[in-house]
Amino acid sequence: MNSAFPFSAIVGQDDMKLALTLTAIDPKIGGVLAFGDRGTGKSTAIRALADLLPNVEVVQGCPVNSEQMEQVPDWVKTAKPEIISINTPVVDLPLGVSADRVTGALDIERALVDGVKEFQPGLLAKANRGYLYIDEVNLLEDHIVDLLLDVAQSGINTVEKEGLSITHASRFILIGSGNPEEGELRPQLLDRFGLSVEVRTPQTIMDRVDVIKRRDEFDRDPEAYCAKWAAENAKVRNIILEGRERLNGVTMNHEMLEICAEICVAMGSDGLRGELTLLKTARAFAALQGDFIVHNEHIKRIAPMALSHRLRRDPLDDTGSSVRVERTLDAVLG
Amino acid sequence: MLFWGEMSDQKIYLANLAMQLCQMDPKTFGGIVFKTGAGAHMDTVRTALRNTKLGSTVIHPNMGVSDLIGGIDPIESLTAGKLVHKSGVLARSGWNVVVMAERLTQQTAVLISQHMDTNHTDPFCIFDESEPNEENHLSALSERMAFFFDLNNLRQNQFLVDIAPIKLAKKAIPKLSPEQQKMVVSVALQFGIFSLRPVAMVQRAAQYLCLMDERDRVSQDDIDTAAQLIYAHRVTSLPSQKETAGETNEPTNQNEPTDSKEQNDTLELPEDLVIEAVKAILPKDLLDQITAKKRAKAKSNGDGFGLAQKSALRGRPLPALIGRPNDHVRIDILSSLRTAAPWQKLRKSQSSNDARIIIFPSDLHIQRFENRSERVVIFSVDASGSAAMTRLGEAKGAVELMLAQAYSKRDYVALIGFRDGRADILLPPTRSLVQAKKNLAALAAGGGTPLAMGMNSALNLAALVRRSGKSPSMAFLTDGKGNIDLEGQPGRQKAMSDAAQIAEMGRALNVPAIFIDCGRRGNPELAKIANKMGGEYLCLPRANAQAISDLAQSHLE
Repeated sequence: MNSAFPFSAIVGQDDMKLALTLTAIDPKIGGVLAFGDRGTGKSTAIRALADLLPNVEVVQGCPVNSEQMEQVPDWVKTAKPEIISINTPVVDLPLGVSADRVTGALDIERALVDGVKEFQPGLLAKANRGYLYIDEVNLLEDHIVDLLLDVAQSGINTVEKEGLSITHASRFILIGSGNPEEGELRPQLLDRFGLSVEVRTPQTIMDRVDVIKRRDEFDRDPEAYCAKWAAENAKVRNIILEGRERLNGVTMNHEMLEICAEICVAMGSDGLRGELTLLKTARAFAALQGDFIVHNEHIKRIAPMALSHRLRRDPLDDTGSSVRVERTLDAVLG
Repeated sequence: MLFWGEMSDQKIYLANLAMQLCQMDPKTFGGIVFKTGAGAHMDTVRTALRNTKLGSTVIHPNMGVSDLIGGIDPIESLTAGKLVHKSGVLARSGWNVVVMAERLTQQTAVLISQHMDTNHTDPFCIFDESEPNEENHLSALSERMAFFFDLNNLRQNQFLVDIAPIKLAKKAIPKLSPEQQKMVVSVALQFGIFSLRPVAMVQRAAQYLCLMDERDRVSQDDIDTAAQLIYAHRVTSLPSQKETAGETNEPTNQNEPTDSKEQNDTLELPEDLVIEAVKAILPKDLLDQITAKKRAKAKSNGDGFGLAQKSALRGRPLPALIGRPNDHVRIDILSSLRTAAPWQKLRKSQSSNDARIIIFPSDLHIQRFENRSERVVIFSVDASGSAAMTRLGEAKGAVELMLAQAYSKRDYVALIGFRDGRADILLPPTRSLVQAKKNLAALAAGGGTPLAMGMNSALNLAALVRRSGKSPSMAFLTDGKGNIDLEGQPGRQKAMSDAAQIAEMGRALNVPAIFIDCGRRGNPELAKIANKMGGEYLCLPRANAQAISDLAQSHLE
């Protein structure tokens, strides 16, 4: 993936960049959903993410990227007792993928040639401890969505078929992008995303000129261009690492907790998931900013992305959901 | 650079140029879309592409995932006794010629575009044979195709294709000056093109045009031509007369055309030249359309096709089942193989047969699909007379209410408005609330009542919908006092007899229909028409959004 456009060279798109950074600081926030028109650079930003992420340590040869030898599932025979450092996996889940490819299935080759019943891990194994990216997530076929919902919830992938009975860990950050004009997302899947952002093309002429200028430079010599931006990318990577270190020290006083609860009630967002995400995201944002105490401003900045996709929809209300979130925020925070 | 001959000469010239550019840089330009029926032009292009150095491969809309991007080859695997992968059509080199593109499912179209984003693909040549208003799923794909040409109005024997590869001078690709870059960006905004992809394409095209001419600097002509090639079919709004460019010239939101800044008397701005060049090749009726109604943005939806797309309707594959294939069910080779595979060693040791693979009947699996037919509710709303605005408003509300539940019900909704001698499809069948809101933002009302036209338009749409495999139903919202006939002439009697005639036709089509009479008193004539059409008639003087949506859902099951 050497030819991905550098993350830090992306013009504008602040919300999406922030959301991706926050989930990198605290993976427990859950995934990011990026919705926007065509040609706004959703996929570009997400594909650029891989370059940016800090490495993870894994057991060598383990298909599910286990952290320690004890965690390697018993069906794995290729693992070596050695820990290596690899890029955080960012796995593409293409549309039209078969269920077998997602969950893993009987390894036909081994079965045909050697008559051995062996499990061939799928994309869910590969994405463990990393990211799973679905472009055009609203077009994903229902039966694949069903698979994902279950795994995203439990963090465990269970395969019971063709005489195989396999389980393995599959914790991943779900990243989805799509165009809302092509159909809505199933509410259950929507809920699995921690944050949602609306992506637009940059609005000023100067920014747009910048975009095509950079694109031109990149197209001429992708490698040189990436090298040019490597230092900037490293900076962002350091910010993420520092944020992670700070995260455990970030505290939230009682007043802030109340405010979060109040916002969620006022907004009528269903379930507790919204509130939890709001808390986690606010803490991650504070950590990112170098603060150890969460205050109003933090909540204000991240509330729209944590809540706008959880509002109960009123089809006859024309205002966009982020506007409604902001309105409520102003009312609660004063 | 430009050849200002007859309109179609110019079109042919540009189409050839476009194909050249595609061959030079398929990564940037993606390919070209031709809107044309089967016929001489299509044959000309296909033959020409086949004879290029690149060659061509044909992509058919019915190709599956594994045909397109590759996968396991079951037959080869069986004969070889080991796993054999086959490569997909997209990986093969040569022009990818997509025929009958309007039949592509949305999944397939998106699959191809995703593949283009992450892999190298040779240029595409897409033939869109759709009829006007027929739905297609091309928007994801055509966004990535730089070029579009409508060949329908081109005379026969006119289209000459000459795309022998041009040797480019071995020079560095020239850069656009900052002013030129700004111009390219600003022109796009003024035409209501918000995606950045076409902007990057124009920049690249201008650079190549300059190279082809062996010049060192990108000229105004290069940019004019590039903009004609790439912007013209994506135009969604026209720059207003007094508008000029400037940094402050930013749209406040995506739905509005750019803000205007006062004209300072510099008519010969290079930017204006580009705008004029693009305007010059816009089809005449497009100009009319855009100036007539400002809803153009919603209509062309950024894809230059004019029709939006919906999710595909394929049967949802269910896990394979043990069973015998016959005429109605197909064998699932992969699952059958998987079942048989682990036993091969054992079976071979017990059998004298030296076949590579021994499959028992009990191994056979069959494919199963669950086919849910999707419904399309077509609202045809009377937008004439004084009460029209409220009626339209309520119909719009009903559409949005139904769409809010669309996911669970799998309903599509379409809206037709008829008034004053015309019936317009205000909202093509969609499941997207976002799109509905966008299209229905501004509605016109008033004038006479062309009842027959409204009915006819709904029936045509229903027929189209049915052809695409969904089940249509219609809801008419009117007081039934038609006074304009099918030809658009006023006259009550003819208007009503036309309506009755359309009703007869409707009956033959056998589409469920409901007539909601919203006049103050019931109109027996409308009841008669409803009866003729085999539809239901309901008198509902104060119909509101909720009631209409409930009625449509309960009566059209």
